[in-house]
Amino acid sequence: MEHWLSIYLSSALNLAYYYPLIMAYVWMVGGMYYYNKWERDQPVRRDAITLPYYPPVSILIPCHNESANLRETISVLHSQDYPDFEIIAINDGSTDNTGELLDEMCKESSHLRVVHLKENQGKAMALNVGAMMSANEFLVCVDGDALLDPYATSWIIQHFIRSSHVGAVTGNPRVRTRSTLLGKIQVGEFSSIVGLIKRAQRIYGRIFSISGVVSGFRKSALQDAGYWSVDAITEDIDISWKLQLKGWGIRFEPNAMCWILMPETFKGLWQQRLRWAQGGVEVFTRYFSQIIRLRHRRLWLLLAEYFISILWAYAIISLILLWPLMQFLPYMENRTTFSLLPDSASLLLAMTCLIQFAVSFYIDSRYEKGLGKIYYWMVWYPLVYWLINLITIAVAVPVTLLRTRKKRAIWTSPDRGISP
Amino acid sequence: MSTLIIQSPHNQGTLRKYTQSSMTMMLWVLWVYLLLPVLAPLLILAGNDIQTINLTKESLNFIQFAAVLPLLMVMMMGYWLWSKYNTLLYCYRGEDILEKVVYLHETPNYFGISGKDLASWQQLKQMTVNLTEQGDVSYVKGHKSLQGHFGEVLDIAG
Repeated sequence: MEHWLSIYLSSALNLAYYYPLIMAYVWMVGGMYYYNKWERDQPVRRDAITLPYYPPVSILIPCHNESANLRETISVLHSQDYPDFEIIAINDGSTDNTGELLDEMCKESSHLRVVHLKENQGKAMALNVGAMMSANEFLVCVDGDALLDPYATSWIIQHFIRSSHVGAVTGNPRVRTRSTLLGKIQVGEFSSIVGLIKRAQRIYGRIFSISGVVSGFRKSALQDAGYWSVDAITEDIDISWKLQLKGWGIRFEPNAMCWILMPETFKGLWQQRLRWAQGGVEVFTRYFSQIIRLRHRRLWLLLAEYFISILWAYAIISLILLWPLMQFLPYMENRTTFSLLPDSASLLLAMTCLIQFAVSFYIDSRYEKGLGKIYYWMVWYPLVYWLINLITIAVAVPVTLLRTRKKRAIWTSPDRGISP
Repeated sequence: MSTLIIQSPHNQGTLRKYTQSSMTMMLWVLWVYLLLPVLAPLLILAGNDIQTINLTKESLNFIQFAAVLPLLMVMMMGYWLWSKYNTLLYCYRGEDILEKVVYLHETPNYFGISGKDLASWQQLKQMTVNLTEQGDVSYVKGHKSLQGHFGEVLDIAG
């Protein structure tokens, strides 16, 4: 017993320390590699990209109770620097005046088409109906409270034109809500860390998830993959894996920017992150038997990364729970010596965090100036991010495993931060 | 249109603002404390008394740090090889995908509706869609044009 407990504690401690440390370097090296290979010599987004031809595009906006933001979202969409596009707004059984607002805007705009769903069917179903009502091969999907950059459509479509095996392109979401500490931390997270991870994953060859708030799709790829799953907790993670399992590629396009509203309360953040964690666990369990096949070996690194992150979460929780026990077990005396003085291990972790922020801000400063101001607040990120990640994964695993399959995932109105 | 960046610190209480700022400052102090093994040699070089700086449990272990460098090099080499492998794979995979053409004229069958209905719906400017519990289209009612008076009204059962 003593022997096994000792081995377990030692392994758990090593995992708790080395997982974030190693992943930080994996993401940094991958991000820098991507930047040097594909990004450094590209024009920045203010230079409109010229395409050999401009296929017609449908921009889908699924919306549920979005009356507060919808007019702004659709007005901004009209300024897309793209010659041939239509906007399809799908009103998913809204109970506010979203429907009336859309009908009114529909009369004013030649680009806008409106689909009303009688009842709340969930985002995935709304997207499926939107895709069905579009006659175009290329779709760009944007959330009802997000503002799409005028050049985003061109930057997304260029990937589909350049390569016939690209099934989806994920854009670059930027956080608008920056009033509170939570808002500022998320600015840093989305502006840099999320982008860094996506760049690194592109080097693996596969991406864990597109950003549901801004992404482009090839309709034939969607059809091949079976469109969006209506029972998926997070339709964006699910479609990403479905497309990749069918052999379609996913690209990350940092120039396709989209300005988004994020929660600025702990409750809102918790709900959002728990949903994301549940989505990851769901995909992991739903597609595990397919992913482990040899022909999907390019997904194995993502699978391993996710599996280790689950183990890491439970390792830390077990260490926290075992800590009081360790104080009373006589044979654990030598193992519980703990000093508040910094040593080279803490130094390495602290320095790694600061270097990671610096690398990610350096790469991302091309797309948004003045990000350096956020660096001051990013000192919270390791604590908040890892802690929330830890707890949400630990909660998400049992909740997702016990969830009834085939249950339709419908909308709930999220926290959208502090108003101006 | 409202401003792109929403920064409204005035919408927060004064106590909350100052608490956040001071806690962030304290966290930075902790961070610098963790970095003491690096700062200690610099402070000594700057002429500080070694007794006042000797807070660290152990001095900076450069051998331990030197181990990180080969790890980074191995990681970069791994990335490079994996990237090349992916590039080669795309060359062949590209052909595979071209063979796997997905015919969009099969879309109506996919959704369980007729091609004629779908073609009509795709022309509609505004429509109301009713779905069954299984997610199938039960009916679509819509308008082809909203110019002036509501245009041609179509009632199409799915």
